[in-house]
Amino acid sequence: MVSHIKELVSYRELLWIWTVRTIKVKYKQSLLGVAWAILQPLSTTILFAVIFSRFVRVDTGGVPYPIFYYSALLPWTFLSTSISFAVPSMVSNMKLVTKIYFPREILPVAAVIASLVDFLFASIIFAGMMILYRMPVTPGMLLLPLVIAIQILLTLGIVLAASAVNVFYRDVRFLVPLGVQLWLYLTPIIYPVSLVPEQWRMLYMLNPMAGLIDAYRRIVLQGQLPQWNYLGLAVLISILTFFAGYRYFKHVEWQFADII
Amino acid sequence: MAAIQFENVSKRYRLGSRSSLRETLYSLPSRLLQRSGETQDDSRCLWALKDVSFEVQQGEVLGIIGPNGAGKTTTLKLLSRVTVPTRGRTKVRGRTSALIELGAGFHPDLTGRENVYLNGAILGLKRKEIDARFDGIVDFAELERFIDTPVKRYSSGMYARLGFSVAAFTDPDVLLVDEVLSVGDILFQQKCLKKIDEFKSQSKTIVFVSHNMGSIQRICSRVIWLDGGEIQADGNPGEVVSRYFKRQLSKRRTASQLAEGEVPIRYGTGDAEIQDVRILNQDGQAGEAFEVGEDVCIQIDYQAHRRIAPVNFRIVVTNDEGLKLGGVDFFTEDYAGLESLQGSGTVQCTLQSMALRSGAYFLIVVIEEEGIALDRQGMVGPFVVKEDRYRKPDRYGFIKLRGTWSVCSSPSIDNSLSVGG
Repeated sequence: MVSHIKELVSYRELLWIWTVRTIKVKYKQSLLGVAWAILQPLSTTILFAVIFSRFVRVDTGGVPYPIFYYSALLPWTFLSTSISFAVPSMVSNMKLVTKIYFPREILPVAAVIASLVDFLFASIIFAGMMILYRMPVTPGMLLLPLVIAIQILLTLGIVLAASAVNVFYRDVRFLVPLGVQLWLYLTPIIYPVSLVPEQWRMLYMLNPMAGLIDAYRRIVLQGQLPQWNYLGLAVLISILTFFAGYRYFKHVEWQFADII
Repeated sequence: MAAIQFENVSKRYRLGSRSSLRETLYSLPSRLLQRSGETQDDSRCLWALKDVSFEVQQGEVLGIIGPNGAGKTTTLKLLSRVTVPTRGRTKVRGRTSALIELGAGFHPDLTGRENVYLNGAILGLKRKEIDARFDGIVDFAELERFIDTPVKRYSSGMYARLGFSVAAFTDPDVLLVDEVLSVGDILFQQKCLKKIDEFKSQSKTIVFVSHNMGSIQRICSRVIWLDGGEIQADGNPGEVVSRYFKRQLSKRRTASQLAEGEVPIRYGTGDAEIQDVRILNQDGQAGEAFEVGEDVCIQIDYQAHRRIAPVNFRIVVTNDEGLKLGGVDFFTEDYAGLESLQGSGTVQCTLQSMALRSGAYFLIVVIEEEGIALDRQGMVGPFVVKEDRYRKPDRYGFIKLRGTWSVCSSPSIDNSLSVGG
């Protein structure tokens, strides 16, 4: 594992070039360019704000619904765009993969980094929203980089495994958006964690994103420290996912050029 | 320390298309019930390489020849780490640059410029290093006007030029070249060969796959003949090429069906027959490999079924692709007096100071009577002319011309040199 990471570091020039290219491609593809990273979450925020403020009441802990929703949507968008860009990355770059050697994980990793950049830009907008709604800044926010780092590990693990499987079974590409959508409903994004009955809570928290989203919310919205049992579980599962995903990827990597 | 090591390498490919998830799930019950050591059944597998071993020392230029499907490209893919062996190990020391099946690791949507940087990064160069070499690369490839166009719009020639240029200028320790020379025009091929010569003098290791026996002989110090995934021969270029040709020809001769419109290798009325053709060197020994400028003696055993008059023998020399290079007729040369042919016998022709450069050649041998072929046999041979060790590698085609040079402009100097060109 360590040698793989070392190798990846030695190819950092390539990783940089590929990340920049992925970002450019993402924005060329959408007419509105950079604005898309902001407009898309904003539009669903408005939609859900209307639904959940007027028609269906949920307990947001005293926070305005848009902030409540957006705070969870941002990290979720990071995960879902990472997945949607990274999973087909091997297959769509087959001309490279079959002709020249480089550590193949650069392709999905670049997609994740590109999504991370989006995440950071959108966070700036979110910070603006926070200021608008006069939300306080608390010292707990120093923990945010840690939570983000854990989410990055989780995302990488999923994405490495899924992009590899996609090479062997092309229909995975179509199953993935469905899976992500279902996962969204199993994560406390539209609704708060408190909506989940106590007896199911720990089972629910086996979903690492649930623990992470809850941590984000507690830090950002309530100025509280995360609930350590939930976050701890999320950290454990994220780390395991990363190791399992990366190892699986490296194990089957050599087959890509033969199959694509 | 060998630069390249291939140890008992075998490579298996699975045939057929990859199943979808649905198909795999459906077949899961039946596959679980199957009990097998090797789960692949033979009809769906192809062994591209079978227990191949060889070593290449640093500075060697290895040529790999063989028919299509022999495993040559697979070998290069294994050496460049694009894929890994099913069995055995490969080891390559140093930075490796590869041009496989005309592809250089370019992404079609990126421009030439972007691809140069991409490839440079893949090969481990820093941005600054690529910046420094960029102009040289574009210059060599002669693509200044097109460097900012997406590579998918390049012609195969442009693609090959850029690919070779990037591979060459990134200063690899090991260069793997697969057929790229066949795509460019003559000028480009010359440039490439010159660059490869430079690499040779820098003691870099080169593995060169080609169907062009002339280039193979010119560049390589050693040749491996690969066929059906196994090494058939390994050694001196002249000898290996010659043996390869012999085998290819015997395959052709046993094929009794000829394609529509294809000229049969042998035809004629049959009133006289060529029994045997021997190609001998100046000592009278049967030879397959000759030096440049050596006398080549061709002996033809014939059998005439009736009296043939007037009789003519013709020998035409062709290159390995059948291009006629030159010939001699019995009828018009001085001969020992043979106007008619009867019974059986032997005639002999000595091609003096044969002015052919290194390469593989065939003969067409004909017995004719008043312009009608009695027996015409093509693809006789091959015989091979060896690389001339004392001269720089040739760039001037098949024929060695003789020319006389003198300096005209300065009346005080009169240097007339008679040289073989």
